[in-house]
Amino acid sequence: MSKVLYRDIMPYLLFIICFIPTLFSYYFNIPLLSKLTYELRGWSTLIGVTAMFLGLCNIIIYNYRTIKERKAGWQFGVYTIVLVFSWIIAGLYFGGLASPAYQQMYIYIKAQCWSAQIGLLTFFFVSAAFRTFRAKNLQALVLLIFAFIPFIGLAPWGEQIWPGWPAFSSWILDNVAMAGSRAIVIAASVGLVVMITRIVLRYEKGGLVRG
Amino acid sequence: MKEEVSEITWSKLLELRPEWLWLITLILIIAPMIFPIHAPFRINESTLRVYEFVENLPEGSVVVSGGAGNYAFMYETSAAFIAFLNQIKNRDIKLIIFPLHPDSLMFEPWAIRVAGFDKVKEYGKDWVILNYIPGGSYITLPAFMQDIKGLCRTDLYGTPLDELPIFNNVDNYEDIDLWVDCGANSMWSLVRYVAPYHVPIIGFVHSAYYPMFQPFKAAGLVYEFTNGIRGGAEYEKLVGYTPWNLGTITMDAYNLYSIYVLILVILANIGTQILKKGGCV
Amino acid sequence: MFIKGRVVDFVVMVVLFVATWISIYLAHRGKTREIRSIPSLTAVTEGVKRAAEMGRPVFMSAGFGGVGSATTMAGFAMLDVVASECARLEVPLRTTFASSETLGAAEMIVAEAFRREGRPDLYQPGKQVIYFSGEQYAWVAGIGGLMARERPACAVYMGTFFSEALYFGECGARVGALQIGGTTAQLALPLLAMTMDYLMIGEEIYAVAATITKDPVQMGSVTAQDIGKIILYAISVIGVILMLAGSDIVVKLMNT
Repeated sequence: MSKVLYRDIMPYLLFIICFIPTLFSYYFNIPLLSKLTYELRGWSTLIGVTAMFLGLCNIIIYNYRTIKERKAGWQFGVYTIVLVFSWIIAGLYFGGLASPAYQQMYIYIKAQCWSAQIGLLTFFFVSAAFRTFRAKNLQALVLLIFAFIPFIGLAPWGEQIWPGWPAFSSWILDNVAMAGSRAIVIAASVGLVVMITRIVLRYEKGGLVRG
Repeated sequence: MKEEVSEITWSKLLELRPEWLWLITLILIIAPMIFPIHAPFRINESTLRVYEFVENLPEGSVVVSGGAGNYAFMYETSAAFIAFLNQIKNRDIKLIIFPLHPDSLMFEPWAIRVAGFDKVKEYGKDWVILNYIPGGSYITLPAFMQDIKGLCRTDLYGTPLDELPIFNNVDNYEDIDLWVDCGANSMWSLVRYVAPYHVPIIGFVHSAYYPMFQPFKAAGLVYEFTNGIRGGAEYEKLVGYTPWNLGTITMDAYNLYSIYVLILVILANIGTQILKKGGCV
Repeated sequence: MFIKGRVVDFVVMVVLFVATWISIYLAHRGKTREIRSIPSLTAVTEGVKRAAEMGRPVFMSAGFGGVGSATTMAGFAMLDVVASECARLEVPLRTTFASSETLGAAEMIVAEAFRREGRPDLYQPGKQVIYFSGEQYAWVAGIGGLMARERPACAVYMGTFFSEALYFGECGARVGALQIGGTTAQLALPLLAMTMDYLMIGEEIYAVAATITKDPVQMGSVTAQDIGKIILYAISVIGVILMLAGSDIVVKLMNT
């Protein structure tokens, strides 16, 4: 009984208590609902912070086990734990997130690593374009044409060849591409509403229940 | 015989190792930084609308810069954001930075420093960075719009908001004249929680998101967007730039890069058709 | 009482809610509609067989979304199928997620799939389901390294992706993997279209989940989604026709 209550009923009740006032306060102008939603949002913030702390504990425990059992790549576990504590110390003892030390560490280490990863996309696009944009059939030809019209439209040399190119490219993006975007956004939004309905009706347990 | 040689050549070209393509890409990106071309480009209507809207803001206006997203992406959108900061830094326009992601706490001060905004404006009186509130923009934005001081008790440096002169007349959405978003990750939250309060929103977004967000502009939820690094280059041109500003530098590299990709695709298609005729594909 | 501009929103939401309820109820009674065949689904089975023949693993990712995301749920349904096929054909499976909260759910799904196929001995915690990082590009870098080392013969991506779709699409192409992808994220769709051998666009991934499981809840949901889309497209079309005729009654109605 207690297992059912703990794993099944309580998460669902918690979900309903949070969901119903938040949903209805979006549509109805009822002061009590607004106050309740405001309070729940505060609690959500607390849960977010707690989740972050739990995530940190998980990372440390996971990597500690990897190191202890000498699993493949355990050296990266050492590296991870050293980095985790370095960032925590930098954040707490050098003046917080606003301190020059933390900001410099962030900008010169993390941001550069991120930039390096994202910069790879520039190169991967070249090889992907060379491999993919071959008009073997009509569909591929249409894809190729509509991919390259805005691509050239953004480039300064495109408008030197034909001054109307940026406007034509904008027309493609604002009308043709937007029509497709709208259809996909509508479909995805409908899918989301249906999924939430399934959770409310208890057809979809998803992350609410473990075991 | 001649045809066979041609087919073999094209076949080898089409199977060219990606590493050679990447090497040429690297050269074409780095070369314009050393030998700038300064290719001319026109200003798009969307960037012009953004510039004119900001230019027409009355003195004493309050602008909130509320964005999320990861720092590395910001190189594409920061060109426009830094140009925006340049545009407002010599005017009496207040700036409140409300970070919607921890990365924004690093990015926004960096952009402020690069634009020299902190050198001409007084912190606490003309601009402020609020503390990051965890929980996600879906939680924090509605609360921010209703009661700024209720949500954020202090700024990033721990100073209570009541002690900051900028907040003497700023309490909620009614006091916000413009919302700017650098990056695109929080646009969905902004149209849901900021747009209903009829606060004009300007987005400095990535090129990939630009067409995706046009429905928001068409529906009147967002005033306008700039289009990635090209929009940044155009904005720099409007506010007055030196040739080494981020967007303008990148335009030269993008010129060469786009020509290169187009040539590659044309070659790939010619090769495919030749091999198809020869029965090799 | 109603907040201005949200009345029609609320009505549409209620209609969708009721449509979902009724569709699932009817689906439980056996009254479902036929879902057209989706080539990508057949390709998944073929991909796992290809991996078995080549002696290489299968790679699967449900993307960047959290456990509450509809696309991640669809990804979990696909993970269940892929894990079952891998267990049946004794093919090594490698799965990664960028969100730590999905990790637990993924481990449960994979363990259950292996148990259902009668091969619980093949399930190795921490080996099949791998967590690299919650940071997007750190996770992607991990996937790139995993693909270069393990050289999967088949890679399935179904969930929420962004610009990293191009990254791992290229990594998969370099190792010669058969790649099947599906997402509702508009940013990733063109990138997946460039790099995938088979692609599922938008709500096809929800339909795939229903086709796989034949679960009445999934089948009913697909029907409800179709009803919702028909209603919204009908409002759009009627609104456009009336606007062209000079009447903005639909716009006024949407703003009540």
